[in-house]
This record gives sequence, structure tokens and C-alpha cells, in this order.
Amino acid sequence: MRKRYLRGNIYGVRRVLYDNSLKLGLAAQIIDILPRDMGLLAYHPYERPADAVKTSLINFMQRIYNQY
Amino acid sequence: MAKEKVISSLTKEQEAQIPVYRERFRQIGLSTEPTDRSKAEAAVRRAYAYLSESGSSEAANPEIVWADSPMLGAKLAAQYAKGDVNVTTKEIQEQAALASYGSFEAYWVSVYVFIAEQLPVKKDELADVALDIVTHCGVYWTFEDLVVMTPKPSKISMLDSKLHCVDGPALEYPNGDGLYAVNGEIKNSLMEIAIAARLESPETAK
Repeated sequence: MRKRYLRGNIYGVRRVLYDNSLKLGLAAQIIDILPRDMGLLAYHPYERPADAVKTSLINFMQRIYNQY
Repeated sequence: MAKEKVISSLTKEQEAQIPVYRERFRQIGLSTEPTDRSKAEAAVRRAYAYLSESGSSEAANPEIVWADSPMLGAKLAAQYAKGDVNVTTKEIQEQAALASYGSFEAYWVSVYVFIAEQLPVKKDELADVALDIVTHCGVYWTFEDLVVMTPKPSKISMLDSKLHCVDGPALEYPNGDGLYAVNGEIKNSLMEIAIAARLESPETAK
């Protein structure tokens, strides 16, 4: 089995970004506004349609037909 | 060591930028612009280099191969993972959970880019790396010495934030691979969509 490099995938990037933000004191600097303004930016349904596309694609790939 | 200043509120100018960022990253997430392969490769290589420097992994300069769609990429990733060209459907299907969904991840990257660009805080180069990835990359798979990359979609058709198209694929890739969907529900074919539409038609119900 070839070794996967999960640290190098985009979710690894996300985790390191978050860890870095802690190291930089970023979370401490902005923590007070995260639930309010940042939350709106990150999770407002208006900019989540790409997430819906991703979910559909995952569902499709998990039942990929034999032609692939 | 000086205590970090806590930002407890946004300025009006910063608040005014939120909808601008929201729209910017919505467009990145739904981008069907042709994929610039060299920029996409550079983005992933930059992530590998950054993570290799800051971590313990020796993965720093992977070989990159392209598949023409995520469906074909899943097969290639399954073959590479197994070290065998003969893979089962189940092994291909399992790749869905192991992929990085490139541009579709734009929504959370928006937060870090907003922070980096708009707030008076220390910058993290990795926010730029993440921005490059969601801007240029489609679905991809990461191994220590190889990355399987695929292009961004060439068509995304949506209705009420759900994949939806009644006369063709709702999500399509440049090679013609794609999927049919109506109101977010995946369909096997246009025929299935037509039959469902006919069954739901008021005239049929008479």
C-alpha cells in the first residue's frame, strides 16, 4: 500500500492554519468576534452552495458505477 | 512579552467588507473557469513545501499526475494506493472520503483570508497557500510522493443552492464526466429525470 499524505491534503492545511492561528495569538486576538462576524462570513448559507456541490459529488462517487 | 491586543469588534469598514468576501468566495467555490494546471500544481507543491518545512514529513516534492475528472481521479488514486491497476469498485468508491475537495472548500478559507487581509494581525503564509488551492484546484488526492489532481468543473447548475438541471448534467467536467441531479437529488440518467417529471406533472395526475 502506498502511503497517503493526509497532512498535505486541504484538511491538513486547515488544521495547521488553525494551529498556527493559536500560536500567533490570532485566536486570542479575534476570539471575541468569531461567533458573531466571523461566523456570518464562514457559515452564512449564501456562500455554502459549493459545499452542497461537494456533498453531492461525494455521494455520487461513493456509488460510482462500474464504468469507472 | 507584550500581551496581544484583543480585537473585540470590527470597524464599519471591515464589516462592510464581509459581503464582499462572501461573494468573492462564493464565486471561487462555484468557479467553472478552465483550470490553470501549472497554477494548481504550484499551489499543491507550495502546501507540501510549507508543511514539510514546518513538520516532520519528508514529503516535499511529490510527482503530480492528472486525471480528467474526479471520477477518473478516484480510480487512479485507488490504483496508486493499492499498487495495482486492478481495483474493485469498492476501492474506487472509498477514495471519495480521502479526497481534498479543492475549490469547494472556499467557504472556510474565506475566514482566514479575511483575517489576513482585513484585520491588523500577524499574517500566516499558509492562508495564501489555502487561497491558491481553492482558487486553482479541483479535487485531488495526496500521497507522500505523488498527488493525483483533477480539473475544476466546467459546469455547475443550481437551484436554491442545490444541484439542479433537468436537461443535462448538473455538475460536469471538461471531459464530459458528471452527474445528474434534480433539487439536489442525484439521478442516474436524463431518462430518470424525465420519468420523474412526468409522474409529478399535474396533467399526468388527471
